[in-house]
Amino acid sequence: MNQFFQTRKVAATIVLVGIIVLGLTNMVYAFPVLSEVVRTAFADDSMAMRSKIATIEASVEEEFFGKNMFIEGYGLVQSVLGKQTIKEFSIAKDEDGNLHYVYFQTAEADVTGIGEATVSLAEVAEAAGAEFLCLMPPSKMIEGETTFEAGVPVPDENAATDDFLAYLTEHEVDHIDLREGIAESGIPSEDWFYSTDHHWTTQTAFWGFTQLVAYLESGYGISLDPDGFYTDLAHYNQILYEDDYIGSLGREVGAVYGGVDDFTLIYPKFTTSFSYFATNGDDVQIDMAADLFERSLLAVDQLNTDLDRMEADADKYFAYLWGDYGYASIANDENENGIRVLFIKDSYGVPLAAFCATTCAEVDLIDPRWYEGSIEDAVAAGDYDAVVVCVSAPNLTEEFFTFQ
Amino acid sequence: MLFSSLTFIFIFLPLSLGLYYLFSFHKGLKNVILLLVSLFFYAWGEPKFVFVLLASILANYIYGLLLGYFKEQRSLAKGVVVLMCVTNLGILYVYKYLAFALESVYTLFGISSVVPSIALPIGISFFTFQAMSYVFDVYYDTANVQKNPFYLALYISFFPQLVAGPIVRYSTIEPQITQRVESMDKFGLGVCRFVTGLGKKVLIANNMALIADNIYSLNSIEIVPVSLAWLGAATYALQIFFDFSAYSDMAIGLGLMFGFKLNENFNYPYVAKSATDFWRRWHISLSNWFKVYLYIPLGGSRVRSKDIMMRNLLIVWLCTGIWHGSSWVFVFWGVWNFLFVLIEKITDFENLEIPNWARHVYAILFFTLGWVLFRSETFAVASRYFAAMFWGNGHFWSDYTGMFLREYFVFFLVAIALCIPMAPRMNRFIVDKKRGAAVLQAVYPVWIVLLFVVSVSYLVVGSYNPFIYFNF
Repeated sequence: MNQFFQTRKVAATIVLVGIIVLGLTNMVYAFPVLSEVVRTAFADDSMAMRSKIATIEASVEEEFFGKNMFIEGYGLVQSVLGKQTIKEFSIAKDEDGNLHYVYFQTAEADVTGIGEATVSLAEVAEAAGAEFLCLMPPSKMIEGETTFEAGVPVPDENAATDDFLAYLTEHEVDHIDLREGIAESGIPSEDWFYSTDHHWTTQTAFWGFTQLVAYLESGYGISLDPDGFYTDLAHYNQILYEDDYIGSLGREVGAVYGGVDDFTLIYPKFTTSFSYFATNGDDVQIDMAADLFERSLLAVDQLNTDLDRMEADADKYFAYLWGDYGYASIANDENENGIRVLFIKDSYGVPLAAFCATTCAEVDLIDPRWYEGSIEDAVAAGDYDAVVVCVSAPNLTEEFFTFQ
Repeated sequence: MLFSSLTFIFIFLPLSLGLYYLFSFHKGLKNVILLLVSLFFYAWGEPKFVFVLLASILANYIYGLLLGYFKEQRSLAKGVVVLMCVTNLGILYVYKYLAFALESVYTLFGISSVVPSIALPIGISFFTFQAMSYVFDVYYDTANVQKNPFYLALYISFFPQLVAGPIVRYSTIEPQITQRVESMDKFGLGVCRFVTGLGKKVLIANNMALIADNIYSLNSIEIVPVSLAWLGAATYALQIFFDFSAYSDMAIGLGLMFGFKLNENFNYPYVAKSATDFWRRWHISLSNWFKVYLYIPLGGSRVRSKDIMMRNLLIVWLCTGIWHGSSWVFVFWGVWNFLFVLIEKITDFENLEIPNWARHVYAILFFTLGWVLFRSETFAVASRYFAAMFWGNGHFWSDYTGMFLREYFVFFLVAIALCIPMAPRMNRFIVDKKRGAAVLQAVYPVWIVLLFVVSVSYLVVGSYNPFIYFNF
């Protein structure tokens, strides 16, 4: 009997020491953030007490010391159990080991509303004298290629995309479907997307840029790159960060479960001069004076290999244009007589617009999630030569089509 | 605050234990600390409801004093008990049942009026029953009047069992408030019990909840195939057992850490061989409460006619049903249980010559179908789900069934294994020093630490963490 209690005391001691050490460390580690959260929550009289408490609890969880270590532990357990779907069926591994956002699709996506919004915006653009184009990036759920074990709750993104593009065709709104032709891009299919992220790779985004330029030139007679100089990858530096990138999916499940990606940074070899401004509202967030592409359009701090890959501020994809902003504007001082393009985009548009900027005088970006003004007004009054809607398949939702 | 939350485990718990043992030299101070941390724990959920709790404590304290005063005058004492029931059940009624009652009346008479939305104080059903237990115990002379309001407050608000039980009878706790002895043995057992409960909750109940919730959600869109419907029903049965029993494990473990010994609340209910047997093993503290304070005072089974016995049973089961939630579905769920228990009583089911396997199958069907009803917000949802279980979709198999089984087979195996009484047998094995016991002893701390680390990993990742009994 004595030994029975003895083993429990040993176990209890270890657990208790763990709780105390981790508890104290957390209190010290999270104190600055937590005290600020508490101060802000209690200063806000409009906030219900229950919400204040929920905010504090959420902060404790968010700022938990050693969080990434525990995420890796969680990922390890999922790997050992051989799980293909994790995090409440929100992330799944395909049969090649790539991560995807998934969910139980309970009904076919109805794209009529976003189709109508797009048609209506096309009319605004036409009235303003701008060409209007929908650019559909390739889907990570590649038809016929991306396969999952039976029963994994994979939404049919391609069906929704087909419906959306069919709607645009029916209403004579021009579009490019980059799902087509990617097989001929010369990029190996395993490099089209990051395994740990939902985005296309920078190489694929660059290919997308070349397709867009080609389409604008052939379809609309807009001269962007008559010599094929800017769309030639040979005129760009490519820095490979081998096994040094973990995307947003990977950060949720850890490197043990999700693996690590290579990341290729692509930036011009040729002389460039860009100024860049980005904001999420009244406060100016980024304001870069004219400088080289890699200085003004790249957040080089995010490329630092000493950063913890599991942290969001080490996301190399979002080094381009410093990430997503409600409104951003790139001015190309080397091509002041070029065209002005507006991208209405999700995060797929970030590297695409950065590359596009090399061929234009000005590229503006609006992210409907955070843009506070009227997108219709921006299109009508912006004096753009072209307006490009670039929203990827998973985001064919009303959140990204806020215009009428 | 959930026990299975990082805030509780890494902030509230160590601070509470630290403060408690810092004042361990003084019994009174220890209880004051425990009372304060308990009130803080309750206020953390919704601060304003702490006043409901304090009002309940104060009212029942006064009723206790009045009972002490009218001890020799039984009719007056009875009056005090009636008043106490009206007060406690009145508070419970306003917060838990008023909206439901109004909605029922409006529906019945076709009145188009807005039903007020009344927020439910967390754990009100639990602490109200605890408070009533005190007055009843004083009335039945099984406990003394508590003169110290802080001690009564501690009994009612003791945080380990405050919001989800076990519903501890006052007579069980009374001596422990002043005479409990903390020990390393108790503490060690308590921590291990807490970690076991945490693991059951985070790793099993929460994962089962994910499957069950998704299947119920899918069924609300389109009637699902048979296999998926039965899997959903089975996973919900596992979810509710592990959710609630894990919370009881954690409560008992926490109690032990502070030197208290709380009663067991579950005794492997899923190995039951009948509905009656199931209810002897499930939520024992609630069943006991109704038995001691309602069924027996009504006359219980020792009454002059079977009609009265049936009436008594019906009252108890209607109360049990409605205690779980304010909807007609819960009332019907109470009737469902009543019917099975009654038929078993009438047929003397437990003494019939029926093979054990058939008894188990019968009991499993009884509680699984009962849980479908319990899980459904409305009769329409329930009937839709029953339709799915009995071929409403016209198909047997779904790829989702295969995926759920494949993805969670380890959790299913562990859950089923934990539904049978293996742990007590293993403990006996160790205590009796059987061959191999030393290995189990050596592995035990490793297992507990691993269970804790994995559970915390799930919490840090922010996994699905619902808790069914918070609604009661």
